[in-house]
Amino acid sequence: MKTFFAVLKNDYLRMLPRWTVMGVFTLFTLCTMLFAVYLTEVQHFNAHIAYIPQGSSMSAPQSSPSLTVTVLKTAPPRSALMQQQYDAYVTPGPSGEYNIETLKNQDFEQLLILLLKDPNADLSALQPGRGVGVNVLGFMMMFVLTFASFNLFVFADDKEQGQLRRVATAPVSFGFYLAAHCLFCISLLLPEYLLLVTLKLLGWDIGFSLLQYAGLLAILGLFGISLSLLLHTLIKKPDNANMLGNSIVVLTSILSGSFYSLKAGNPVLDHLVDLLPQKQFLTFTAALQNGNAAAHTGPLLYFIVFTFALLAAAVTILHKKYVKQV
Amino acid sequence: MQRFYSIFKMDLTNLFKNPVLVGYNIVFAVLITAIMGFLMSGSYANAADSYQYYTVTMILYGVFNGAMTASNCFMERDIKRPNLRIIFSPAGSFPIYFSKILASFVFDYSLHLILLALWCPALHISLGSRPIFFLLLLAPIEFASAALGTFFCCIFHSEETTSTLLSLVISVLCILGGSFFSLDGMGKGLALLSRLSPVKWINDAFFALCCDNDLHLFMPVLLGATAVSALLVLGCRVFFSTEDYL
Repeated sequence: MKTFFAVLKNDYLRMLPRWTVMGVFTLFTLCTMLFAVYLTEVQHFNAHIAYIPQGSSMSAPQSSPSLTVTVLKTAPPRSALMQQQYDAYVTPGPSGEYNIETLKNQDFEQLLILLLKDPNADLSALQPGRGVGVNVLGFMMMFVLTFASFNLFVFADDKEQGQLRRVATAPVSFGFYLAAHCLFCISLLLPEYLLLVTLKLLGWDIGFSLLQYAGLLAILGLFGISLSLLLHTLIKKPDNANMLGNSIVVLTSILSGSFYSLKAGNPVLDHLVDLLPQKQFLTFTAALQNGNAAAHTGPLLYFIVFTFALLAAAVTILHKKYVKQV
Repeated sequence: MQRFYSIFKMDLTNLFKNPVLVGYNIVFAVLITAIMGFLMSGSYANAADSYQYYTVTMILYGVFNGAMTASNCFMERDIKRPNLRIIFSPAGSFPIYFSKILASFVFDYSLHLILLALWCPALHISLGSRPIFFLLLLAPIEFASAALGTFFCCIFHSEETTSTLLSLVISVLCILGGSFFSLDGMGKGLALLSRLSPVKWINDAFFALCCDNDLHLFMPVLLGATAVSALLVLGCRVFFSTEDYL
């Protein structure tokens, strides 16, 4: 136990010279969380189309909350369509129908034809909105995971400068040494949690109860720590481990739909994405938000087992490398 | 010049010998483009359009991430000591940061060119009727991001701080700039927010080049990126301090 507190205290002292970076990092995370809360409030289906009359006497379609119509003399360039500044270019046809030029899929075109006929058509059944809690956790996921990789500098430095070997030989508990680092990393998520508490106290809708948030944040943080601990164990240079960790985190977080739900429509790829722990985490949070968490413990279990598998791998390798053969 | 050249040659060899950096610029770039393109192709009528979009945005994402190559090349622990020796040699301190910027630029740019040369014909992705403009416009941006990485190192005095901070800043700017999914289609507020990110303007210029063969954004972006590069190199000169290496 003495080791535990000594290492923990030492970690906080080593954090002090880096407080600017950590502050910036935390600030970014807090901003994305606020952004997620804001985004959930404004999100709904909205098609933005350009209507080009081409001298026809047909009146332009009406704008509505689901349909924004911009009337233009000439069609904008194709790059505007590519970048989704407009979802479609609509020109009147000879016999009163609309010609639609779009890059989007059939479903979208059907929906658009529906909206052109009746701008106020009820689309609520077709909108796949996400809850605010899922958005908040999804948005902060990437930052929490990269932050964990950064915060493990305490471990990476120890390893690179040879302190780890000394710790391993000293009559102290190696387990407590690692546990102290983990607790240190988790405790740095406190500002994020405090923001959630503040939002809750101010009466905002944040989706989950504070206790649920605490639990979810803790396992998410632990996942980040396990992943980067393993990488730092396997890779010699901390810089390379950090860079690889960041790439993996960015790629897998975006793939699992943390910011924006992606769907390939390809069964093989969808199954591959389902293997990502972050995807399972988001599936569970979505179920929790919808109130049927009990039926979805599988994804949560998968996430936790994955986390502990990474942690176990890291600890086993460390044990082999350092404790057994000093 | 001779002194500069030998330092530059060493830096460039170091970069090409680093498997993580080479892998990051080739494997990661291909993976992320292919996966994003494939995942989003469901919402397009024609899957080729999805690949077109993600080839442009992801190659630019790779270019911005070149800043991390530079910071890695500039302040990696193994390189700090040799750098210290160069400072006390007659070569002075200028070649230290400038050769790192130039070496990262050459390294990233050549890898990205190879990538585009293989990737685009294979998937029939258009870089405009005259691809040379597309490739030419990449160069100053590549240089500016290499200079940015070095500049951050000069300010924060540490490689890991720099790469973490940079990866964060770049990811945020790219997400805002619509690299992973377009914010333009998500309402007025977000479209305006997207305009705040310089990544968005650069994306616009490249999309105009490859989709419309439109050159009117070519010169502003070229000159802008060159000016930013010059400022950043100047910044390195001001903020570079020998004490960082002790």
